[in-house]
Amino acid sequence: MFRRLLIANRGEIAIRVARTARAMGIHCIGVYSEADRTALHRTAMDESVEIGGPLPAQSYLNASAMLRAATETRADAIHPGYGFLSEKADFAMRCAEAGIVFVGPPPGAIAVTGDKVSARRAMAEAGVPVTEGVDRVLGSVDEAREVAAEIGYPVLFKATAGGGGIGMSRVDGPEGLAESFEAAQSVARANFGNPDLFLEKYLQQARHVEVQVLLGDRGVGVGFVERECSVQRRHQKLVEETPSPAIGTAVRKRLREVAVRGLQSLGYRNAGTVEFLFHDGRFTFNEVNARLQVEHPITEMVTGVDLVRQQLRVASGDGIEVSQNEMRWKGHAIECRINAEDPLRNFLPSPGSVVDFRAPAGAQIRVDAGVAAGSTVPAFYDPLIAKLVVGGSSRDTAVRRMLQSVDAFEVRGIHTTLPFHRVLLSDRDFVKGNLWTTMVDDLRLVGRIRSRGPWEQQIAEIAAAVAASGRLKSGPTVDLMRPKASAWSAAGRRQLLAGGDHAVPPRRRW
Amino acid sequence: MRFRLVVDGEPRRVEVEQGPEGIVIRVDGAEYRGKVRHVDGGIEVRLGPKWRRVGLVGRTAVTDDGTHEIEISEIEDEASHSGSKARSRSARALPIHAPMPGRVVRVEARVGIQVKRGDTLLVLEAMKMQNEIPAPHDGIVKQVRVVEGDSVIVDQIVAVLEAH
Repeated sequence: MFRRLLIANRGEIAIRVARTARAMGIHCIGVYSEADRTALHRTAMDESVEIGGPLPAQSYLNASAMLRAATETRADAIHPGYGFLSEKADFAMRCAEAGIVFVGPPPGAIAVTGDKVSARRAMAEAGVPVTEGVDRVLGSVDEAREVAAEIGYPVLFKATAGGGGIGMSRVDGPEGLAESFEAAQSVARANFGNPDLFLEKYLQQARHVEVQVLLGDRGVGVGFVERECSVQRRHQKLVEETPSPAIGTAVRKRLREVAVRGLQSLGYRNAGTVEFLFHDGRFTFNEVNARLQVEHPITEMVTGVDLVRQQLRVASGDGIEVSQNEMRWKGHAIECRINAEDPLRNFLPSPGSVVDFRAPAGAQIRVDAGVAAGSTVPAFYDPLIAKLVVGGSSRDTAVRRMLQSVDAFEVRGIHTTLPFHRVLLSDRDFVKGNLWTTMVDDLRLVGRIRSRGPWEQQIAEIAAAVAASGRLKSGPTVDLMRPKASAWSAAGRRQLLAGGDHAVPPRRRW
Repeated sequence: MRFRLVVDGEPRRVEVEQGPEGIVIRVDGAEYRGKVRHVDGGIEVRLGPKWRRVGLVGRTAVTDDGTHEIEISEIEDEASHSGSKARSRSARALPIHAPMPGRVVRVEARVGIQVKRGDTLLVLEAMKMQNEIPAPHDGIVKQVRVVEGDSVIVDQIVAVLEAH
């Protein structure tokens, strides 16, 4: 096993990887950008290194800086987490050249899955059903129009170099095609440096299901019970669960077998996920995520398998500890993504200072958080601040436990997606397990959010009193003599008032 | 009336309108309607089913559940802007604030152009998302205070409209 692991990421995933690695006796080296000098993930590491400026390209996406940090700290392996450098084939290659193990698939497999057209082609060859579409880059608008007419509208343009739901554009008829084609090309060029597009049939009211796969030496490995991630907004997942409420035993087994076979055919190793669309009782291939995914904890919750531990074992040559025959799963698990976004204002990003942070706790409740009271959420990185994961013996139990946990979750100082989850979890379709990828828009769930909760109403009451008191006429409050109340003291006072044990929250070491 | 209110370290942008029907308060876009009345030694506010007492003492607000530290700044009183007789009665300067910190990736507003409520004035990138900042009102762009590539902080004034 490795002795020193560099974790090339930030936030909750860096902390989550370190938790397992340190429990395995591995020395963890963290990295941070200038904007993350006080970030929580640093406290989860044995040591940490500053690698560059606040912009991702200067730090977490900077392969040279990352390799330099790994060499200088004598790391023998790098875990990339998700996002950033996790699916960059050339980074995986450079790690190998530097004699450092990349905890992930081989560069060749990353390259094939990273090109959506080649991934489609490879999957089709391996006998995986693919969504109706083309297996080549579209050369022109005319070619696109021809193909779309053949397949039938609506169709979906996708960037070959795309991922994470960016660069997709739906077209409902020939009129809008040319415009969508050009718009999708420019989005693809701006985001991925490559304007190439292909096209697939757009499936309406489809479900998003995916299979976690873990492959060890010689491609022997396991497929896990499927996850369903249909609750999305702008193709970004908001809530995931396992198993899918729509899938029965026979389909489950076929999904798993097809996913494992597909990745085996690519010479894939380590953890990966095959995403499918499930529509009219049929499933078709969507894409491969060649990394550990955000939603991996729900799989861990129903199977008891620590996926990061298995990743580290595969990468170090120790081998997977579970076999398909022994694999069991129990109950149901759900994850809600807590993002620093304001659902009342169209999911406006809400970076800032976390004044107070209280996560729910209890049996079958897991919170993977990247912030704590006193943390700053910078505007430079993605908005995920925590993942709330709950389990239950049945889906109903899990949904109820999630609703309670969401209610008990308190984040102050920034706006979060918690009010959205409260509305979703009470929605009739969601409760029945009737899910589809555009349900958030179709059901106008966001429009149903009435408030951010009782604390926000209190702020409104104070604001009303301030306005009515004539207080505004005397001008702003100016603090000349006194330093501003720190987040610490404010949090401490609230805890006192709430009858907590500590007047001041325990201090963290930075 | 608009102002920035910080309660226990949490910043909010507040808009308050007094009407004959009562009071309308928007806190970072979340709207509440209710009534306010003065009582002995304080103010009572009803936004939900119950009247709740709010005491204001210096920089603290006292509510049912305790004492909250408050800060008030950036007070904008619309009435004082529209006082000039020369202008049409409803014309007023409307500063556009950045709703979050970020980087300006596109500026659509040009000084002197007419915009409609909802038109995109500029695009701010934050947290890997591009966010269109819309005009809150019909009007004419009087000032544009940022250029593409600028970094802005939350609440920074990025443009000024003359609303009408």
